[in-house]
Amino acid sequence: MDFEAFFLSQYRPVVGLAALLCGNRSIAEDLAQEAFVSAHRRWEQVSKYDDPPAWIRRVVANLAVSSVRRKVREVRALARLGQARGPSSREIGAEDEGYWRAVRALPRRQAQCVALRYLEDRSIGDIATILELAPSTVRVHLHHARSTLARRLGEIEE
Amino acid sequence: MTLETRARLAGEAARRQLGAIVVPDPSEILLRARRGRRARLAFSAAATATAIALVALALTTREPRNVRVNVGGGGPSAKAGRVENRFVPPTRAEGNRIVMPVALPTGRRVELMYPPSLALAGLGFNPEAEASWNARSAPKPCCDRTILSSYVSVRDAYGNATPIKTYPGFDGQPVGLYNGAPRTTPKVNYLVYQFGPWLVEVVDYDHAQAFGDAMTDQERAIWARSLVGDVTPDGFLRLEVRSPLTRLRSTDDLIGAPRAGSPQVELFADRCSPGSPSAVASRSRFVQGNGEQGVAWCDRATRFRVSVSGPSQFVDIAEHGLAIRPATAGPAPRK
Repeated sequence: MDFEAFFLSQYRPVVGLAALLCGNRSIAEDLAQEAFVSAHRRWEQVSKYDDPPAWIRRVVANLAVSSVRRKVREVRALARLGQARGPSSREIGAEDEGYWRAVRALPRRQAQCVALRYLEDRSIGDIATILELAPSTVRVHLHHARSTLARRLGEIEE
Repeated sequence: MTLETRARLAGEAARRQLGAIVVPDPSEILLRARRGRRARLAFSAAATATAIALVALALTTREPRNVRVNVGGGGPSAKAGRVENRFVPPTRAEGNRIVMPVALPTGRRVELMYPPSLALAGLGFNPEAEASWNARSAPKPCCDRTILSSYVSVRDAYGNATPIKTYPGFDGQPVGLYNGAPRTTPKVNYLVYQFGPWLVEVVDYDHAQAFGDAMTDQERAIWARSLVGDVTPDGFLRLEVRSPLTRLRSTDDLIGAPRAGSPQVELFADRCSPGSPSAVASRSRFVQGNGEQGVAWCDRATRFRVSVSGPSQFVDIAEHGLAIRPATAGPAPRK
């Protein structure tokens, strides 16, 4: 796979993952772009990995919970907002946004596991590969996340 | 609406948004990266100057040698103890630093060194591990399990609750299967072992579910007799697995209470393999989704990833004053 094909096929889902974890589309695009720039710099190596899409998700999931970088990006993204693009045509509903806001309030590993599980419909094994965790650890993160979300959102856990 | 349904609906809603994302030309991204490099170099020079100033400030305001503080069992040369359900390790003073040994259930040992003001040992330590057992692949794979530990008795944890069932452990001691409620959801059960003052819980589901693979009664009996534990002379939990269980390994060893906003240090053994995106030796700050501060780094000598979070003052002290090294004393002999 060449870099351009990789970029074009992965850009949207990677931005989507970052957006759920950091809560801001513009910042998410910046984070995704940083991840892709990083992939491009070492493409000779990354392209030989078993699963380059997993690698880029791991990078962006970690970037999205990183603060100093996030603040810098926030300023840059806000500066660009006025001149670049308006709001997206279809905004996510308030109830769904409430769910993702609660996810973002979880400890970072739990939030990453939930985002990969429900945004991308990833299996436990996939999530474990992406985040470099053992499958049983992913299960425990998801279990703790579900318990906390059920309590905070007042839902019935099933 | 159940949580699972809501999560799936929220996921579908988020997926629908992906179509609205405009995919830029890849060359545009790479061009922007080159333009940004000059700005980053300028920022880097300013950051270096600031760092030098901070180090100079730290050197002029460093704590006096051999300062003594009382941090509830975690101070210099303090004996082992307990805080809530966590083990307070014994510590010793080394110059103006506290040295706190950490022994993982696998037997691996490291030492943390920190200024007394961090009061790390007094926060208490609970290790976490996991073991593998490829018992079956259908209807769902089973039976890798996470192993939690806490420094309490079964009665402290479960009161007068009666176990759902009791299995014989490796040495004949009873291993109870307890319902997790009310400490967690009723959907989780635990196989509960007592090794000296340490309570060890193996997580199990009470029925197959989306993520779960509940063990059968026979599989639980095998887990009960195949996990063996004892206590090192300095009070740490030590575990071993017997066949058919394999690959006992540490996962997330936590110092501090697992509560949002409270000071915590997480240790991840062997999580710094070369080439991994997380294998960054420099200390990088982060903010959790709830706004909590943190700093994380990989230690090359021990190959441990260290992640600190909590109040900003705690994180600041840890960022500049916490270090980890291989244990200087040999492994403690088995009891």
